[in-house]
Amino acid sequence: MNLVSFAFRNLGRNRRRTVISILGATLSTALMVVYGALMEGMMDTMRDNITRAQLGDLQIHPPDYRDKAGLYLTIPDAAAMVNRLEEKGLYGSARLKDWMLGATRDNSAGIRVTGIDPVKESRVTDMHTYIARGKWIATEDPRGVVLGTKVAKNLGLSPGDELIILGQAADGSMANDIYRIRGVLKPVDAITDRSGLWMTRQAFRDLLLLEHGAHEIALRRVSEEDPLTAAVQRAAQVAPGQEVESWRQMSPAIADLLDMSGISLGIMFFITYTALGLLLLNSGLMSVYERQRELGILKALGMRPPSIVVLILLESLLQTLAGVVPGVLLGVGGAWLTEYYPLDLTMFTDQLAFGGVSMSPEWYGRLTGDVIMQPAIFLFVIIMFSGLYPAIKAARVNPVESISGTHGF
Amino acid sequence: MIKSAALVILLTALTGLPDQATAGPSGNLQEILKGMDDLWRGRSSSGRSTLEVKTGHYRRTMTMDYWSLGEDYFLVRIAAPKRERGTATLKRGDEIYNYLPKAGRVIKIGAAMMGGSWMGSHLTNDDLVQSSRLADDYTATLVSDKPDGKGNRTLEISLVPHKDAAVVWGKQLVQIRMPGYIPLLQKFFDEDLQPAREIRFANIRDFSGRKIPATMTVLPANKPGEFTRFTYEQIRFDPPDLNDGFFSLKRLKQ
Repeated sequence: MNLVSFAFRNLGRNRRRTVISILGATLSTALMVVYGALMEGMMDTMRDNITRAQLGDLQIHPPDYRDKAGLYLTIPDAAAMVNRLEEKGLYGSARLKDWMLGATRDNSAGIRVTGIDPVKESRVTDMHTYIARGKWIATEDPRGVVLGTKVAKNLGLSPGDELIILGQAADGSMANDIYRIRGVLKPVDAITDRSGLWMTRQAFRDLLLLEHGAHEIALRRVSEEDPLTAAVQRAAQVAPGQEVESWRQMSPAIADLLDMSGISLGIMFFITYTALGLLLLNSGLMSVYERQRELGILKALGMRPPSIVVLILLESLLQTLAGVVPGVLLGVGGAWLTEYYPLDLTMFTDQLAFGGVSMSPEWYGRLTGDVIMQPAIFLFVIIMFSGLYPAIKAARVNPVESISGTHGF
Repeated sequence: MIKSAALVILLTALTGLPDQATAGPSGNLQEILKGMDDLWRGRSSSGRSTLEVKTGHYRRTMTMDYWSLGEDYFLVRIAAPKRERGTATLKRGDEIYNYLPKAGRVIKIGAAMMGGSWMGSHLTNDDLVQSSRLADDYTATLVSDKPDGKGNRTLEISLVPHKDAAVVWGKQLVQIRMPGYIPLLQKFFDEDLQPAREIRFANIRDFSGRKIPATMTVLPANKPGEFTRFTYEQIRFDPPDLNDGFFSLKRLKQ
């Protein structure tokens, strides 16, 4: 007898139970796909926020910059290096950085001043899209500077207001000049929010009398497919003697958090599918119990135990297929919606931050192949396991006892 | 001398020398310290000095005009180089203001800026407002007392701050030439009693009949080879019209 049609017929015997099992598989698969897409979306946003906001994919620094950072520790031939990096498939932005003092008539605060070429920077990061009020810096407006959200608030500054910047120039003289606030940023990260100030690179050079070099080169891979580690190696060839680090090395906490997201997704799968597995195990056992007389007859007629195992597993498999296919379709539909209609978290908070990275309270999902495949594969594995026990039970039925009904299941 | 920093010395200095005849080498340590404190204090003075700063990255020289009145008021304005001409610092009591000619603004130095370098030198803004009197804030112990063979004696005195004194140093060591209360060397130690910086006094000159070391060199202990050096070019004691009204924000901007 054909085992497949036999299995189909068996599934039709108790339709309600079969439908409940199929619905369980459908719902859990759909939920897991949507959940996976939301997690993927959140991780993507975090990765984007950290690399696109201002870190870039990787950065080049002078050696020991962490311990000795200061005005004089520079990459000497930064401009030429940026050109060579572009030939190697890496967009670069040479930055100048120093801590200075921002002062208004009544107030002063420590500020981290970054001098950039706005055109080059826009190819590496999306800082220019983080403007909340006013405009991003522009080469033709060297006196216009952009402030982080909290430092602007603390100094009571809005676009159009004046700010005096004080520092120590490269020749030891007191660097001081007056600037106009051109824009104020949205939340980016803790340090930028609290103390960030951006000006054009030329304005920085004029203020601090630093004619050459740069303190940092931020890089972005021209192609997203380009592996990060390969990009680091190529950058290191162009910048011998300098420190080249990927964003993962510079922000290990965030990188770990992103890696952990896979694990937390796995745990969610495990919990959901264990519950589903128990449901299927129960219905499998019930269906075998109901049929023990029939199974006894089959055995008495000469059906081998392995065939019985295959029969019961086939029943599980058919149920699973019937559940997974609509489950995936439903999940993909839901996940697709989250790509366009984000979950709005503003009812809980105005501002989200994870590991020092500010995030928008609109939570978008992201649908990927993994998001679809993982729940489906996970479900198959669980179902096969939960079908195995009833199948073995069925195979071990004693024909005489089960036919006569003298032995309980 | 001997407020906590040479700059304070420069700026509040050089007036009202004590009567050198009354305090000889036989005077007790408290009297000697008081004489030293007063050597750099008093009524008023004005003059011109140069400030030379050498670090691992630059060496620069500035000429400054200064006016000072007692301990609480001073005004110092850069005369050269041209790029920084007009940059000025005003001290009024515990408050410090900077005038920035390029920005055309006066800035009050807030708490956040107190630790910052003053004019790129090895002194901080905080050094400008620190005022402590050795005689009042420290317990003195005579370390040595040696004749120099020319009729003078050099005293070395160890100074440990009183427990409640508002000073940042853990210890000081001073060398003083007597008579005249002329400081030769002042060493500063931090709270862990590690050397922090020293000030060397040299070039003892006669300004209007008063013998004063015209050169003071500040040497930070953690930056070998670097220094900040003040040299008095001219000193005018008790100039007319120098009262507390002189030290105004308006004057700062002139």
